[in-house]
Amino acid sequence: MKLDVNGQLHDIPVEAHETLLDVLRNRLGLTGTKQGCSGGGCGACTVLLDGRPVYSCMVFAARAEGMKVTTIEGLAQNGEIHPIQRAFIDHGAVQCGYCTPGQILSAKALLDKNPSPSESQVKEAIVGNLCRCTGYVKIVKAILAAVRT
Amino acid sequence: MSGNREYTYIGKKLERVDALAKVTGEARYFADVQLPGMLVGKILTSPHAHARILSIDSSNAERLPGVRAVVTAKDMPKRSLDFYQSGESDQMKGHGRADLYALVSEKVHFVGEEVAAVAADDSFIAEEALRLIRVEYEVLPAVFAPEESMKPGAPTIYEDLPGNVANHLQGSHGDVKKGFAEADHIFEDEFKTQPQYHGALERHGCTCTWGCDGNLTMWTTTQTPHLLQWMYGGVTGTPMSNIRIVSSYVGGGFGSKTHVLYPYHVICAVLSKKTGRPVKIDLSRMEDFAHACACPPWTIKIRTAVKKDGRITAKHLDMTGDCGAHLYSSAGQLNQCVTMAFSHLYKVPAISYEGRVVYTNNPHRAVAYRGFGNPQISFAMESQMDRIAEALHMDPAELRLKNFFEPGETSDFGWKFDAYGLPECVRKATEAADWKGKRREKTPNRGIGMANILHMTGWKGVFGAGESDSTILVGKEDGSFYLYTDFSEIGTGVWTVARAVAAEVLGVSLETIRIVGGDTYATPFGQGSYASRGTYNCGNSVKLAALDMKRQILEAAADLLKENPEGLDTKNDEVFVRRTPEKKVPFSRVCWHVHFNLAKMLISKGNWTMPAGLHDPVTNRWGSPGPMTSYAFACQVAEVEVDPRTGKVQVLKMTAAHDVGYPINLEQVEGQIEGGVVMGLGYALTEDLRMEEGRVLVDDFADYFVRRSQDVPEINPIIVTTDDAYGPFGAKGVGEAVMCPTAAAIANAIYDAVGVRINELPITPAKVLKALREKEKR
Repeated sequence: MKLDVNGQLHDIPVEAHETLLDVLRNRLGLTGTKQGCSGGGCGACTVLLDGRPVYSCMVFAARAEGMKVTTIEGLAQNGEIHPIQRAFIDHGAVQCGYCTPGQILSAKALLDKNPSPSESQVKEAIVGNLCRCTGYVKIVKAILAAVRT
Repeated sequence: MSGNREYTYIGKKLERVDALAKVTGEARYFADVQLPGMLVGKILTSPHAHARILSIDSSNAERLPGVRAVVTAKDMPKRSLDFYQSGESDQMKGHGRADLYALVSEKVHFVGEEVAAVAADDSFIAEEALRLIRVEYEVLPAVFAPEESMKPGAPTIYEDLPGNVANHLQGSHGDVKKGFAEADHIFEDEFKTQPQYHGALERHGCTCTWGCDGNLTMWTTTQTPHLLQWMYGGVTGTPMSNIRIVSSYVGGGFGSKTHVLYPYHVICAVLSKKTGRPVKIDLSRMEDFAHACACPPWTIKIRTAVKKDGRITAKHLDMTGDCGAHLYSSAGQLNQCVTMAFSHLYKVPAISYEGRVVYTNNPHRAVAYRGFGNPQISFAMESQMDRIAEALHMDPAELRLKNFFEPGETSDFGWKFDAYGLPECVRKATEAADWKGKRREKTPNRGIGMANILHMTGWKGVFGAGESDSTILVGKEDGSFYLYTDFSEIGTGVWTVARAVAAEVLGVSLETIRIVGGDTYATPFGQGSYASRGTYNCGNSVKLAALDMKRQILEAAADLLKENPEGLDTKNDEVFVRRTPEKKVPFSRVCWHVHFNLAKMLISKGNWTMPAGLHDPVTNRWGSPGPMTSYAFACQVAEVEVDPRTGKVQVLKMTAAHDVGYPINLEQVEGQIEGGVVMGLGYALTEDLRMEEGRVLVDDFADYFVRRSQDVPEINPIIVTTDDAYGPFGAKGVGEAVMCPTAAAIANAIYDAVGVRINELPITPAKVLKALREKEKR
């Protein structure tokens, strides 16, 4: 199948049972997308499909054909990290880091759609992304700060 | 001890060393390691809570194409994986039992115990192979409650231990009889706590490969890589120098990844050796739930004697824990409950205590959990304190203040309370939460409650009398530095602390220091990231190494500047002459000089353990509250609203005042407080690794309620600054203290709101509703 990941086209063999997560991690070596539960419960594997956040463990890879896949590796532009990534660093929103790529992609989907969300809209956007370390406070702060940049 | 407070980095909001690698997805965890020819390892576990293994036939599995190895107990080392529990630890001698094996051969003791394993080309083949392994069992009667397990006639779980009591401790101090006799009131309460799942986002597992030279490399997720190396060597007889444990980035630990060489570690290494290929065992979330690491559940009975004026005269504690089928660290948790919070949260002239942990056929693995027994004992003690305050018509805050130690006081057990921020924590938390105002003017169904805790920090370790955490600093030719620390970065920010401490001492910019951590090939021995000891012990060993490095730099600079080293100092990556600061030389020049002119290298080390004299093998004996290195304190105030129709509790606000000594990275201290409060909130209200008849009933995050972004109340972290006698720059540890008082504060707020006291965690709507109905009947 042909898969557009972060603007690069891949022509790869994929088996019917393989999830988008399997293909990203195992076939393309894009291990920034984390596997937390494989059951749509934690959000660590969140990627964007045509700009919409999805749990890549719940999507068969074949379904992503013809769509644009964005992973955490695709956020930096011209060597500059994305303002949301910068805000996560600046506001202490990172601890163990395992949920971080998923949180950032959920935030990106929100901000691309709604450039000035309220705090409750931010919380809603990441409600599918579990974090066991931070208590979410600094993650929410970081996303709201990224809005302002 | 800190002198002046004119720091460049210490006490500021610092950018984390690891943040960039984590926001870009570059940080590599064990599951991200992909090796050519790598096989998938899967483990067959017991379907029975208690059964004798009559036979195992793996011939069909072995014949399945794509299966590369099948292993059973006969392929595994004979030594117990927790061998140190029964002997090679000063602390545990005579108090532990070695009961954990990589694969069991004769009996299974719980649903989920490891029986056999396979390595195959992919996970589908591996799973099919597991189905083809035929195990014949003779099912035995099982027992699932410690009270039942202790009864005569209960099934014997280990043949050498009739009665199933795996650990017992008892002791007293002072005149307990007199304390109870002279009291005006005696309060007696019973509390129950539940097993909480750690729920680290990164699941358990490892990737192993063997070199042709007999070297094992294991990428895994551990808080204690050097202890894992030592244990693996001890169990298998492999020289430690042939074992490389890599665990630099860990996706959350919370105690589940400390001190334990798990069966999967050994199974994976053996499978890899047998096949001659790399093998990865990556537990699925379902398996991770069934692997059932959790804090053990406890029944806690407390009897407290008080005078009319609120002074406590004596206390008695009776605790029973269910450790499941393996002791893990449950005995240590019992010990710590007694030796820490129970004996020293309040000044009590006389105490007595008795506790036990009991084997059952329950599936939880009673490993360490953030707080190591403290959230449990504090829930009980602090719930009861509120009951006492109410009976004596006292403000709960005043009752507590009345029973604190005096700042600077030394306890009967030798604990010195020099940096004693507890009263200030209470004062600041109550002020910030408008405690008095909200207690005076009640809103229906809303309530406010508080809880205090004491927690040790700077713990030395459990094996010997003086265990090191170590740092090696190497100065490079261009004036930059490698900092080698034994610590993994499990999310706590310890590498950021290490870098800040080194840069502060050396007078260099943060960017010049590169951290290498959590890889036993490169980094020196140390205990690792657990017990709120990262900032404290890592920070201290870094400080010692940096001081020595600074001495070496000054000596070399003196040679260049033709000055005395004593007259020199450092700042902004330069060495300058104190009398004439314009006379200076950059670090890059000094380091170049050392390497290319003086034919030397810049290398220093720092070893830190508990200060001499504090650790006394007599007072620190099992079950006796000997002094620790340092103590952290906290007061948390919860505000809740209870819906009397549904019993649902909504936490509106948490105010959390923590004595953290002198904070090193402010941002991270706040982050720890916020994260700990939210974990404590889950423990108080929703989290319960429910099990029935020996089976874990939850296997995903849909059934196990970890707080999500929308379930988090307003949190007000308040940092109370003190100056710790031994901590680096006066800092204390904070990682565990942050979740210890939360459940009790919430329970007390619920009582304030609707007048029902729930003594059993978690406080579910059903329990609240039942209590409200019973209250109506009265």
